[in-house]
Amino acid sequence: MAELEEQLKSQIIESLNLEDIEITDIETDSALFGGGLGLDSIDALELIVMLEKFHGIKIDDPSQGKDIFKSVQTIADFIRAQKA
Amino acid sequence: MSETLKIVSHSVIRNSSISVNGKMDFTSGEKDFKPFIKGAFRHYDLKYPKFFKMDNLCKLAMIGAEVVIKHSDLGNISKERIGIVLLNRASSLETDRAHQKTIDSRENYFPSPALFVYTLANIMAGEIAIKHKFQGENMSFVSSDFDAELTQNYVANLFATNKVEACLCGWVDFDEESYESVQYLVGVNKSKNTIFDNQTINEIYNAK
Amino acid sequence: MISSLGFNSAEHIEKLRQSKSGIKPCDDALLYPTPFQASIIDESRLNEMKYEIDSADSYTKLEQLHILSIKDCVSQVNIDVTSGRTLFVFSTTKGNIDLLAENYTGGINVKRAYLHEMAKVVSKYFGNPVNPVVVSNACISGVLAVNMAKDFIEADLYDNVIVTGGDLAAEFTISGFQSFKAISETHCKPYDIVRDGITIGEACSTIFLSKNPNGSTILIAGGGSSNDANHISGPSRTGDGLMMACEKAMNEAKIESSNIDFISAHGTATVYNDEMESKAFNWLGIQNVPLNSFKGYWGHTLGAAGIIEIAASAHSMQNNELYKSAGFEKIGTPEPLNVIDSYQKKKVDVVLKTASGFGGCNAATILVKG
Repeated sequence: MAELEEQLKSQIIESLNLEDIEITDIETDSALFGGGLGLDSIDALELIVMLEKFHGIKIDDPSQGKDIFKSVQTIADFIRAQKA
Repeated sequence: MSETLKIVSHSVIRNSSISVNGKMDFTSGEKDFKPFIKGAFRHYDLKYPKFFKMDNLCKLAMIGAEVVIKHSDLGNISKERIGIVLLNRASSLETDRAHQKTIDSRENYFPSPALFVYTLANIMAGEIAIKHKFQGENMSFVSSDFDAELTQNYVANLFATNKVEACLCGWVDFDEESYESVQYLVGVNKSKNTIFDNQTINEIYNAK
Repeated sequence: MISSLGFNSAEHIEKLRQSKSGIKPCDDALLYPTPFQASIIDESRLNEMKYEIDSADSYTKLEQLHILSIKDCVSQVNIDVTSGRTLFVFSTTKGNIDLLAENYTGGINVKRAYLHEMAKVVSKYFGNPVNPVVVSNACISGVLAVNMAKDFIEADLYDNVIVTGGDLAAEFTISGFQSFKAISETHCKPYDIVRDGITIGEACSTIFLSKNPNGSTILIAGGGSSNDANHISGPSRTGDGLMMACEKAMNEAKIESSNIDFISAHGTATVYNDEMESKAFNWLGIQNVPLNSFKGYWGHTLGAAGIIEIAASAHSMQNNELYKSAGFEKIGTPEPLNVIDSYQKKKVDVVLKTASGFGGCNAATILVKG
């Protein structure tokens, strides 16, 4: 179950160029935005590209991202729901 | 007006070395740009995570500006009155090529917003402005060679028309792993500083 | 002026009077995998026009547009383009960016993707001996280039400056703005309640500025620029940067806000840009001045935007008329604006032109009828 979450963490670190951040620094349940990672609006758009590139899921309306990208957990839940 | 303009401080980055006001400030055994500039970032202890999101051109501009500003006494000049005027040869072509690669194939078509945003020559000025809160005049020129005269003419006019009280100027170029940053801060009437004219700027650029 | 609306100024003004936009649905897989809307220059017309250029095929599409636009402009004035007192200034964000594509087959050397190479090729076509200046400062390039030309003439560095601005609706740019989710699903609607993004356009436009105006009565009276120092892609949430740029331009021109007859604003039709502009204009107390965005006619033309929009504003002044802000129906900005909703005759003596762009930059210029 947690494999997808761990995979997402390393994809986030790679896609968003999060230097000095390790997989263990990202808590599955913690808020991605507004927290210690310092993510901004471009990162939110980059996460949309990440979902498409690595998981084949297209998001056309960026406002959907708000709910999906709350945490690693919410992204994983979204991917599982899409693929279910 | 231009005779009272002085170069308050200047920095040169090339060949894995950074000099400030003619003195070596940081040098590294790393020949490649990425480890070199990361080493410089650590050396100056900048604590600015956004740095790692920047493209190579912006990283180069950022460090070059950082050391110039650190060595400049800006007194009580309002940050709204500090301009940024930069010049280079390759514009943002290095990152342009990278963005183009993301769209060349229809099977592997993933344009990236974090990359695309750096496909403009003036983003480096934007990054410097954000870091230092400089809200004054902006200008970004592209020229085949280091053109001291163009910058001098333009910047002297910004002072003459009272649009700036200080201005970060320079040449910041990155193209196919070759890089060069020569930045200088121009201000008014710091009597001990060097005069801002074509000859002095060319001397700074040509100094080995 | 060259855009989807035509190949000269008269064709543009006629369409502006009729509020006719050049934005159309575009289903060209070479530009983007799925259909979108854009403002594209008529290719068959360009293929006819290019025979006015000597050895046309040795120039890229954008170089051909620059040559045609400059030719059209200088044919209307009596100047020596080969003089050392005449400077060529180029305003562009991406220049010959189409040369980088893997599938480019035009046969032009990729080194012309260097912006200064393109500028040299075009100024050499006209036999000009001066090293051309290239301004590449995102979407404010055109306004900055015109302000710089004014400064250089006033400083007596040159007698005449030919400022030309151009950018293509290239796959490069369209894919990038699509990845930003910044492109409108339909036709861009600046300041409207349902605006949802930009429409990309391509254009090339040239303005001739001279120490000896010789009949022209439009003066570039003041200019200014600024940086929001806030975010590299998102506009300021307060409008402070744009306000400062406008204040500098107005101070230099010695113009009070009550003197302004028309604002040719940037108006990209993204939610945040137009919101930011409404805040800045309210701060300046010019929210009741008639305002438009020309983007509804020819889209966002990037490095050409400032030039073609200043050119259109100059025609507005000469003809004493205001053009509808195309695509606008119902105001949708947080602060009020007086968006022009129909073509009208009105005395236009003083114009404020603004622009804002990626990198947090803003620029303004004041045009005054002499």
